[in-house]
Amino acid sequence: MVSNDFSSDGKSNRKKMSSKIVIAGGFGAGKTTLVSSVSEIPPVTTEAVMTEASIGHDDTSITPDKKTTTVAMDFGRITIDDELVMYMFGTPGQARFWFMWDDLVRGAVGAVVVVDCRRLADSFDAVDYFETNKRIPYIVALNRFEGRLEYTTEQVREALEVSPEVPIIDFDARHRGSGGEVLKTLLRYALEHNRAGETVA
Amino acid sequence: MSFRRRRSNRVRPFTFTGGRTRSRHPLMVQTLVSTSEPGQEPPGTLMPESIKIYRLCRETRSLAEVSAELNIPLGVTQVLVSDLAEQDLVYIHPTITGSSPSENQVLERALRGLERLFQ
Amino acid sequence: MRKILIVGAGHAGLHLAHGLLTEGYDVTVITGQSSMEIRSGKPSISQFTFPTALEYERKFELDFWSALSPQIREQKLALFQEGTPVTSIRGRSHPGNGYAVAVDRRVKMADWLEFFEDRGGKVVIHGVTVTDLDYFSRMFELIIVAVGHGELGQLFDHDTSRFSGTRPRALAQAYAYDLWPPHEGESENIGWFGVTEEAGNVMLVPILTQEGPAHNLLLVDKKGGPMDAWPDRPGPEEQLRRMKDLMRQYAPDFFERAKDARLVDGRSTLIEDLTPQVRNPVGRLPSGGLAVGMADVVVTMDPFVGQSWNNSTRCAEAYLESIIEHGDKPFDEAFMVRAFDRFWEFGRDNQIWAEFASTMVEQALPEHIMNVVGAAVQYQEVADRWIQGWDCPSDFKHWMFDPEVARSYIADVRAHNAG
Repeated sequence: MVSNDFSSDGKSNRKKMSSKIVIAGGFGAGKTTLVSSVSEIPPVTTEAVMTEASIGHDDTSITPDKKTTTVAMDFGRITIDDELVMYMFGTPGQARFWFMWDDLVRGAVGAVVVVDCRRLADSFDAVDYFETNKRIPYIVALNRFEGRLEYTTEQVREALEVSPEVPIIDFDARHRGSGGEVLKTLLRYALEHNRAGETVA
Repeated sequence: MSFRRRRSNRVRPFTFTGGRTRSRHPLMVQTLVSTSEPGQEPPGTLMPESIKIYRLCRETRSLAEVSAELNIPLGVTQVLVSDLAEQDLVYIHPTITGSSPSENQVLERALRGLERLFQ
Repeated sequence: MRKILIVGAGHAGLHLAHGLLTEGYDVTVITGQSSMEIRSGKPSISQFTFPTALEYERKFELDFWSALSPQIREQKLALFQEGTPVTSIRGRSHPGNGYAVAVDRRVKMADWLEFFEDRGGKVVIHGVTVTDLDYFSRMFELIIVAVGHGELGQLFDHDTSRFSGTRPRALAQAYAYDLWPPHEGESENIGWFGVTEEAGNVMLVPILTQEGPAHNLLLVDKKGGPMDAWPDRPGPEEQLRRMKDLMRQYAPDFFERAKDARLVDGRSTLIEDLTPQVRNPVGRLPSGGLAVGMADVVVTMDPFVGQSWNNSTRCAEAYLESIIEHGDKPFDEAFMVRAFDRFWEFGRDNQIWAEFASTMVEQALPEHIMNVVGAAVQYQEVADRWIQGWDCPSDFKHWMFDPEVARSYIADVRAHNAG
């Protein structure tokens, strides 16, 4: 069950509004850890079943056997004040279900790509998604496993082809304060991003 | 003579009422929903799932929370909430996407909130 | 009224959605992209609306663009064969005053989706999973799956009993300006189709894009063929450069028109692989519920003939008629198969013709087809009938494909032209 801390009091409650941050990254990079360290509720997991052909979609020589895959995504919540709630949605680990990413990314304030420096390649799909569709501002957060980083931020930027203006920071997904820094960095960047857009317009 | 870029030649979309219709302004997983008249019982004509949503949203919740708490898939929750909203049985709260500069004030409020919560 | 769910806001799904709404059904469309996202998204393989399909659209007040679009009143088919001059068959798109139009999918689908909601249809924007569909099968009386791509397509198994001529294709497409008419005084609105002996096929047609009228260039070849120059997925400018190179080599008349072509914008190009195939129209959900697939969910065609929208319009019409006729009876598996078969009378003919047209000069042409080509060059009425086959491909079997039928048709044409 999800507990609901913010109370409802009839129509004045209509002032309440929400926003969303997407937490993306490769499988096991620390997305769920980040969501749970900053969330005021235990992360909630929702699951969906996908069918998949077990052989290539275009191979018509055999009728493909269908198998199912369960795709999970989790979310957490931060109540900013009486009127504003922020949700953090972790993307499914399987990068191939892009349409689910689209639902999560739609209307998000921004995204954090969590990168496990021991497995940079696992984050490539996520970085590529945000670099390609450029719908929302995103930052890259390097998860400091066992307290050390194997690469400099500039090495990561080059390896993952992250645009020069995108902030890359390091953090520890297990620590609440460190996770909070990541969210603050994203919001500051989103605000800058908006102001830059304003001057262009 | 051939087709070239012309400033005046833009195709006008068929219509642009700008209304809050779903095709232009979709419900999202973070969108908050609350029952319009929390004191009243749901109309008996509703499907059982819709009645559950009506009761649950007496306290404001996001679509994702409704889906998780009632164990109804997200796409189905969207359809049910959308139908309830069309009948004015639930209220759909505004979402802050940060995509327009007019929302900067709220984003700044969110940032100050995070600074307070994560010192 | 009966509750119907249409999954996917593509050409077939939205045509049917508008039709059902007009007939008073309770229709919900659920789709993964909002109209804004469609407008700002990537292009798709471009398609035509031929004269008969345009009339079907007008029936539901769905033709918003004819007045703004280049009107394709004539089409030309050119055969490029080694060591022979180019053979051209040029004819009118319609026996009367009709014409074909091509509209960027992003313009057409976004407008249709908004219009559907403005006239009272229900729209929900969300990606649909099998988990959702399973649940929906209890809430709706009929579920129609109309998304060609993505995982829901996997609900529908391949059906080699309906069609087996599968061969993977590779295609590259670009929307561009500055495609010159071949000579002074010639219209730039003629649809050009070229088949080459050595490589694949070329299409050059006027199209209405988001930025106004432009031209669409399309190259289609078998996967791994000379015109499949895209394994490295080049960027837009490089793709256009290679397309020009390929035309220079294999279809020089097209190159002459396209040599100065410039992309309309940064979202004007597309590279894709596909395999023409047919799937079983009935999908079974985990809990036993059923969904019926439509148009390109079930049928994938060679894109060279530009028939996918023709298929989708005819499929939408066939399903609409089937649903209305069915009255209040439950939408069971037999109904779904019947509805599809109603469309498949058209679809099968179209599939056969698409395979024929896209491979016709790969091997030496059979004698009766050579004779038809000769007659089409000589007699305008034969050329017109050939070109009008784009509007209704079912006609080809009545005069061209069978050697005996073709012989007697040509004899007949000769006789009345002599007399």
